[in-house]
Amino acid sequence: MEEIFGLSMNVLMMVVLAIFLAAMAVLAALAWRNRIMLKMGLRPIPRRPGQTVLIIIGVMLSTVIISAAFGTSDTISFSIRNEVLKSLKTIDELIIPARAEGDDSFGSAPYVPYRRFEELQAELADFEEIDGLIPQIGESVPAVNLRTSQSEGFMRVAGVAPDLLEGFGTFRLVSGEDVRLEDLLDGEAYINDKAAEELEAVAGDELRLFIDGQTPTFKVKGVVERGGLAGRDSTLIVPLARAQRLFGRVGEINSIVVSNRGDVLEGAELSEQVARKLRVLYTDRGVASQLKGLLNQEEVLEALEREESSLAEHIQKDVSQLREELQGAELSDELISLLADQDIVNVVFDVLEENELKELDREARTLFDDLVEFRVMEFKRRFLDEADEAGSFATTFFMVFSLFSIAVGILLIFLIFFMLASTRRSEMGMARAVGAKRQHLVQMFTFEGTAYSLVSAAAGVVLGLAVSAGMVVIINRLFASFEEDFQMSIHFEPRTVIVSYCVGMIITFATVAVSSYRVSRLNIVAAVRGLPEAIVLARIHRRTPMEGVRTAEGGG
Amino acid sequence: MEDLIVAAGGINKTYDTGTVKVHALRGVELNVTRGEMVAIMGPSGCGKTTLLNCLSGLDEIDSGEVLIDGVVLHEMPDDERSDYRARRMGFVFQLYNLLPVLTAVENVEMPLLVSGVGAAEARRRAMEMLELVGLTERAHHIPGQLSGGQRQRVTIARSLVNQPAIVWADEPTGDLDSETAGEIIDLLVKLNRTNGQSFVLVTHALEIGERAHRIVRMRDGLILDDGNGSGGIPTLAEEVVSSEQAGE
Repeated sequence: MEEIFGLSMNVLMMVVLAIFLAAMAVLAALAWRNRIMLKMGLRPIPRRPGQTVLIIIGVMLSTVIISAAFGTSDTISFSIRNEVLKSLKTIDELIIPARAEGDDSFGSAPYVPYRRFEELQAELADFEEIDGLIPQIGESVPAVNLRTSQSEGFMRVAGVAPDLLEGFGTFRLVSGEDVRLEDLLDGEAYINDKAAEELEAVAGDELRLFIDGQTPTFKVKGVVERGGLAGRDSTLIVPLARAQRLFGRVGEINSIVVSNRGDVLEGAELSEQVARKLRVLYTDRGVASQLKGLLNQEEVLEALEREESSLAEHIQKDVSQLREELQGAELSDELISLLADQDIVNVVFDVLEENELKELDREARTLFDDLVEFRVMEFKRRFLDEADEAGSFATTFFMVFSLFSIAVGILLIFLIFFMLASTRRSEMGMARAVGAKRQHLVQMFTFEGTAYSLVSAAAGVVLGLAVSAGMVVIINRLFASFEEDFQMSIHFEPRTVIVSYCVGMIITFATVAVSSYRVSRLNIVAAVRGLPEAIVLARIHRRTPMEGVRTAEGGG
Repeated sequence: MEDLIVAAGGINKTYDTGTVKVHALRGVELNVTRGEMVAIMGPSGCGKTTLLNCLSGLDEIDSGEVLIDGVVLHEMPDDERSDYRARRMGFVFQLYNLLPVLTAVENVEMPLLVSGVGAAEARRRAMEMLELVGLTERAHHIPGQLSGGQRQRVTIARSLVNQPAIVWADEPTGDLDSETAGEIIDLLVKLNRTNGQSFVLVTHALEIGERAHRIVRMRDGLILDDGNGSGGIPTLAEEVVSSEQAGE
């Protein structure tokens, strides 16, 4: 998770760490100057171990909740990110034709001639941010395993060009051995482990596909690990040329897969840059210019601005930039890239429709249809952003619903310190009688409270993370009962530990400081003699001297 | 003119329990001269401890005026009054004498430390005072490891460590056996005679009163006899006038 309540976690960590260290530095300086108060604050702690344990447990409540919230968010975010990276591996973007042709079938991606891929290859020859570009055919068809009679309604058939795998890595059998597509004989195919699971298939089994009334059969040459070009869902993999023949699309492709420079994670960081480059290449500048003119109207810009707050964070930024670019003098590459982004296009359509700008909506739809030849989908970056947002949402959700518990925790700390103060009231009165100022008592209680807080915040973080881990185990069992593949992996960032500890510590420390200030207010005589505070504090000024006057009892 | 360390006049103090008002001090007047040892005596509930607390600034007064060494204590802000107590006064109480988590020497040095004396200097002076009361070897024991007499001697050492102008003592021998009480009385008298510090003691013990320079007798919140031949119970009319002057 990178953000919480719109604030960067790194910034939050630095801020809370700075506050924590500053508070500890001030306290250390005060302790050095008033060692007698430090002794008075700390020495009672080891003398009452049972009470100390109870106090620490009571004080840790807020930290447990905060730590559990951050821990859960880390796990959700990490698990989704992990799943995205495992599914996509080296794939960063997917390019698909935007305009369907007459012979394209309903429900699958439109086809384009293979030469469009070669043209793109030539255009990107000097572009260093891409390290792999591969044309493919992807279609979903029903399939059945002739040995087990198990079927899969949506078996994805991927036709991959074997000679263009550079940048994407190799296909690897589940046994760990690398395999080559060139080794497949006619009528042979690899399937991924997901398909093997669904069809209960093993190497050597025969699979029958159902394609437009034809029923070609493939022998399973091996089971490869899912992810990347091997797909996440049930997939059968054959060389591109065979897939073209299989679907009657010789010389055509229906998608181009892009791998960015760097490893699986670094590639995603270049995605925005790569997508912009690709979108600019495939966008009709004339249409983009007309769209700029059409959308650069006050009512559209205002409507976009209103819409922003309801959008996901990563789209908010893009919409904000779109408004800026629309008002710019030039038709920038940034604007072209934004107009070619399907997520942005959807937002524009929604805004025009919701604000009943019917004429504009109609014109915009026509222009957007003609704007791009290919759509560039930043799969990995978008999914990773959504993983972070899911983590952030989990924390926010958890924290908002836990505010009441945190408030109860704070009240509990108050009560604990009032209780501690009442047990030491006569000592406090005695200290004040011999010259200790109120600030000395505040310091004494703050030292004591800080000692409890340091331990309880640490214990609270550990317990909170344990709670979070427990929740993950329960959620995973729940997923498993629905036969979902997705399982969350328990993961906590070191940053989470620091933030949880510091936030828990700061809340406790602040509560202790305030309660210390409050409990330090006492009447010395009442405290020393153990009398109720009210009797000594209250004085009579309004009544006549003889009314209800009695001689003091026990006041001698 | 007398060299007064305490000059108090027209002191009224009333407690409100919520259902009943308790008039603890009624127009009390008391002067104590420098170096004098005064014993305040009277039956339980007569207002002795309340008077001591009001004179020493531990408790507020409703009306009247208290001057300690020429300073109006009740007009001082709380912090300043605490500082004044730490620098110029000593306290000996019957119960709850010492801070239980601190050792004897730490208890003694506390008034010095809270008034800003350096740690080394405070420790040196505290050890000197413990030597004076004969407790050097018990300096690093906590109160729980000391006998009642030893605790009271530590309290006395603490009350004198800042070389105060006046020491206030509330039943200093109240919780002690007669032999230990005698030792404490001897110690207090010796310190009074040696150092010339003023002592105001609240006590039931006649043997303390007999060793003091003067006995102040109280009853029902009034001074019956201040040991100087003045005092007495005011009439009802005097009491009403006194209360009205106090703004009640």
